[in-house]
Amino acid sequence: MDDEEELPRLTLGLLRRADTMCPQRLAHEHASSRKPSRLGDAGFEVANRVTEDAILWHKGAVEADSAAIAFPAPTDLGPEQCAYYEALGRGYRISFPERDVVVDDLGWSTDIDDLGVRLVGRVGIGLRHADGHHELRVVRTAPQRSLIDDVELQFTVLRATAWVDTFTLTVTNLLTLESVSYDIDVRERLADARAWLEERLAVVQARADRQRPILGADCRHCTCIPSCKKARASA
Amino acid sequence: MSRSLLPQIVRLTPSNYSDFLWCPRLFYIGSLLSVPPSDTPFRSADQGLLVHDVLERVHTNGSCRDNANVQTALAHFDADTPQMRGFVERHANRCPQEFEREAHEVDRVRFHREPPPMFLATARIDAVWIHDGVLDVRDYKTGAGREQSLSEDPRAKVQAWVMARDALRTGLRLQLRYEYLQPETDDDPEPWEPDDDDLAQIDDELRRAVASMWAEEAWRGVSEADACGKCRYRSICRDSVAPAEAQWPVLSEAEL
Repeated sequence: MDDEEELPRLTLGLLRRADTMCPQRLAHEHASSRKPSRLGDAGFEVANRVTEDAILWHKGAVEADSAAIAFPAPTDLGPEQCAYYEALGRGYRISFPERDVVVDDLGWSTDIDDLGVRLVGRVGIGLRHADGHHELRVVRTAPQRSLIDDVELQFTVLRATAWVDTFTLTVTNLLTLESVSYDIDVRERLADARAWLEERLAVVQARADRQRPILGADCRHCTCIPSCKKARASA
Repeated sequence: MSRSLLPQIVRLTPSNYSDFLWCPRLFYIGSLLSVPPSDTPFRSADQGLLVHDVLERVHTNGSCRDNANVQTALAHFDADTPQMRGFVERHANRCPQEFEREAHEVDRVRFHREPPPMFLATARIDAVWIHDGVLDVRDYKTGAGREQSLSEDPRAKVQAWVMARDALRTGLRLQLRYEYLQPETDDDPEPWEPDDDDLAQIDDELRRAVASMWAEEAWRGVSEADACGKCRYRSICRDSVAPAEAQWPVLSEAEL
């Protein structure tokens, strides 16, 4: 899809930090997925791979003994990343030993047509268990102060709307093995989640402003720095 | 390798610059690969964050010498423990009594454009006080003290470089001070007032450090027993000479 055709994007990060984000960065990331300058993305490499390999493991379980293909030792990562990956893989196998599940693909985005926005970002691994119940499995790959907050819960409900009506949301830290779970009734929560989204979208739209950069913590992971007037003026 | 790992504009922070000078591989594993520490208890970071949160709230709502205000802040974070009260008391002994302005937990940024290479330095400043013509920049420390003056501490150099622009803009004298809040640390290092020559030297040091990041290919570790023995990646680092077992809790659990 061309940049011009993209719906305005709302990621979990934008929704969470809209009140304090740099208005220029907010405007850019709301409007486009383009990255004007490159950031180092190696930090996501292992975390993304673990999720992908967990999905592969479950898919493989349908046809074969998946123990042999669960989280294979990476051959293309450095030794520290391999140690990290192996720990996460171990955490997954300990936390979720059951292999007899079917993976549902929730995709990367959900369009909210009446608001004209696209919710962007993976929300977890969608699974159907043998007994018919659904689970959305979220894995954490680094220590966090809390496993999940209200913002992510609302976002998850909105992203899961087209999937199923009820599911168990499981959030597990694969390094610490801390875990929480919630029984989610999408219909019951949807009105609240929609109201929350509209409120947050209003904040995003009110604050997003390409002409009003503010220097601060956002600059650390901002791709707009080379063209940012405020950053250049700080030199 | 560097070209794909480093951002187009390298980001420096007080801690990642300190890491890079301590050991390039420490910087590589922590800042570029974002691998969580394998050899420090996870909860130790939480305590530091909590102290910062409490002190910010204390100052936002009043004075750190007002017992009722302190009590309210501690209760807000469910942190009313003797240890936490001790942190606040030790801070209060150092906190300026009279000042014109104050700010807490502020993020400051400064961009370096020329001469190349470009970089962006950011620093989260715990507290800034303006008094007596001084821009008094404070950093709260809840870990063990370092036996070096602030003028030699890489973290302080980045903080000074970032804040120097504010000092110049406001016509104030820049002063940096670390408050060690653990009872085990007897004295803070002497406050540091970097002059123009100091700041020019820091500018040069930072630029040279970023240039050497771009020149890195192997990100070789220092492989020295003293350095590796204290490293938060000593058990998994390719170049560690201090063998250890990784402390990630998952590794102590038996697989089913």
